[in-house]
Amino acid sequence: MKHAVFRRMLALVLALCALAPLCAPVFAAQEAFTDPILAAMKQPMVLGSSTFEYEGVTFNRILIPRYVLERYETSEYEILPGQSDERVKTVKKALYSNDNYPDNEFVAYTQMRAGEPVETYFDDHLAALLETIYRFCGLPEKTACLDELTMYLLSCLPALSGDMRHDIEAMYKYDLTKSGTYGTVARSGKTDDLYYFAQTDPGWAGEIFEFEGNGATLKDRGCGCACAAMVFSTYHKVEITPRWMRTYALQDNYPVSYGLPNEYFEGIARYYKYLEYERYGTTLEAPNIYKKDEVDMSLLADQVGNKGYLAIIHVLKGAFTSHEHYMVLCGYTSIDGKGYFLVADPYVLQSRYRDWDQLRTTDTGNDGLIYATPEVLYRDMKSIILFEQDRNAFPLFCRTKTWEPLTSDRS
Amino acid sequence: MERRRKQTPGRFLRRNKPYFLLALTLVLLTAAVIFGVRIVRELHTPAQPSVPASAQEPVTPAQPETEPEQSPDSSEQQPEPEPDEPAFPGTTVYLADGRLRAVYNPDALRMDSSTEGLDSFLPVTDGQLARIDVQKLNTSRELLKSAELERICIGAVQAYYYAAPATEDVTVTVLENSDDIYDAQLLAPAYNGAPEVTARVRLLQLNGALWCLSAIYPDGEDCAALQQTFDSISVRTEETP
Repeated sequence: MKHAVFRRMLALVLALCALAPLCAPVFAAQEAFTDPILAAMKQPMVLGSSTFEYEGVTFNRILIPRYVLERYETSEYEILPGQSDERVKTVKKALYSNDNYPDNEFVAYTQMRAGEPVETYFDDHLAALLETIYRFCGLPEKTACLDELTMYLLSCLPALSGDMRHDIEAMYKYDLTKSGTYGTVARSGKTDDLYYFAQTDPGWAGEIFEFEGNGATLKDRGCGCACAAMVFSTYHKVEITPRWMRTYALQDNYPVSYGLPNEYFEGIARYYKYLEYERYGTTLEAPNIYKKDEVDMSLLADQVGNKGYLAIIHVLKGAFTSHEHYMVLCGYTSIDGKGYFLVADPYVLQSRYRDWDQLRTTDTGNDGLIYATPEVLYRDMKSIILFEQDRNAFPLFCRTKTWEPLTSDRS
Repeated sequence: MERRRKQTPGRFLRRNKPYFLLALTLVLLTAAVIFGVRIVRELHTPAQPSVPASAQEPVTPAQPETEPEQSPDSSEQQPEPEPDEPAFPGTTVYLADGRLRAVYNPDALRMDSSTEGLDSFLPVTDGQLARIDVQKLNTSRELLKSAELERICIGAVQAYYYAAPATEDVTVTVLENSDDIYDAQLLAPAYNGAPEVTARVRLLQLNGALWCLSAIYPDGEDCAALQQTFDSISVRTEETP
């Protein structure tokens, strides 16, 4: 008896499932009946412009027929910047994929660290990228959100030419540079507003970086790798992690007893001067190395604070370390009438600091950043590796020759 | 020994009714999926390209302007001009396999049929955006409601833009709406660097197909010749040479 009832219920469910597909085509037809007719129209585009101006550069548009845009006028959902959602994770994963975008960094590693809150967090960099895409698609007034229209635009992105994807990425990175918001994203989803990498980051802290078989790791001796990663990422505007810098250091046999010599920074800058030249037109010149007695802290403050230079400071035992250490000087500002360098310390452990009368904490939530006076830095300094280039310079140019249609067909 | 009950067809059906129901459901499900896939494919398949319309018949020379003199004593009556003859001299061409007739002034306009499935009239003066385009649509009048006809007219104008104004911003005035003709005048605002545009779109049902005649008259351009030509486009009668 029970089996008979079960069989009847099963049959009823299957019958209902069979009826459902019969209904779907009816609704689909009503929505899209005129679309194929409009899609087949042959008159040439002669009105308006296929280009738009941005920051003095002429870019080619991505063209979307109006009837396609209006298909997505309403959306069943809308996720805003600052919110967390699984759809954000899906979008980030697709934008990060090397299969989809082998030549683009639309989403960077720190924006989607697996298992961290940032993975599902709609961060400001993603918002900036979406608004760039909207601009290309003739939707400059649209503010960043994940809705059905945005998902449709993103689904068509892989089908665009490499040149068009380059133009989108270049404008996006230019916007971040201009607003001073470029850089890594913290695990919480908050932007760091600079490229910051810690040698103590669990992502690579345990990787072997030994000297003469001492079993040391990046956490132990990787301050030079982390500082190089910060500097290289800043000038090339892509995330280059300490893991990568470690690889170069090992292949060219740079490690020394205390970590890396100053010459490592010269060597790696020279070797990878044109690392992202083809993508962005950026280059990184080799730094100049100044010994302590050659350094003028007032001049350095002006160079770092106003000219956009970056400096890696080699310090000895003192306020920051009990041995030797590299840190990045990435800003200069006045607090309560006193000048402070913004120091990016790759070893995150503020409890080890001394001379707190010479230091100030930041309100960024990043314990790897600390303000330090020129006096305490000069006192502990051994040398300065100065990259004499404006970190806020980023060339903006258009690579495409003509407009492109937005289509889901992969080219 | 138990007596076995006789297995009749009816008893067989009753006992196995759930299984028959299940089998029938599976068949229906399969048919529904096949049908649904076909419908979806049909909806997403681009419309078939329209039949090449550039089958122009030989151009007939312009009608002579002077009329033969009438003898005061002649009892012959001059033939009345056909009511649909254009009021301006010009060159008659036949579009759409000879089914549509247009008259244009070759001193002011030129004809272009280089795009397959599209006949166009353009000003001879370079740099003007005004134009007329004639094409066949892969649909029929009886399949379309008035709202859809209006949407097609707006879409025909929007198709001229790189980035078109919103549908709600285009003003439509319906001039004629009959079984064979849907005629509308449209006004599109200045947008994306394009001036304000007055447009005409006429949808003609002709021998089982719907033809789209579209004309754009951007603000500031001299479009008199184009407007005359647009108005002259008509269905060719059998008597028309």
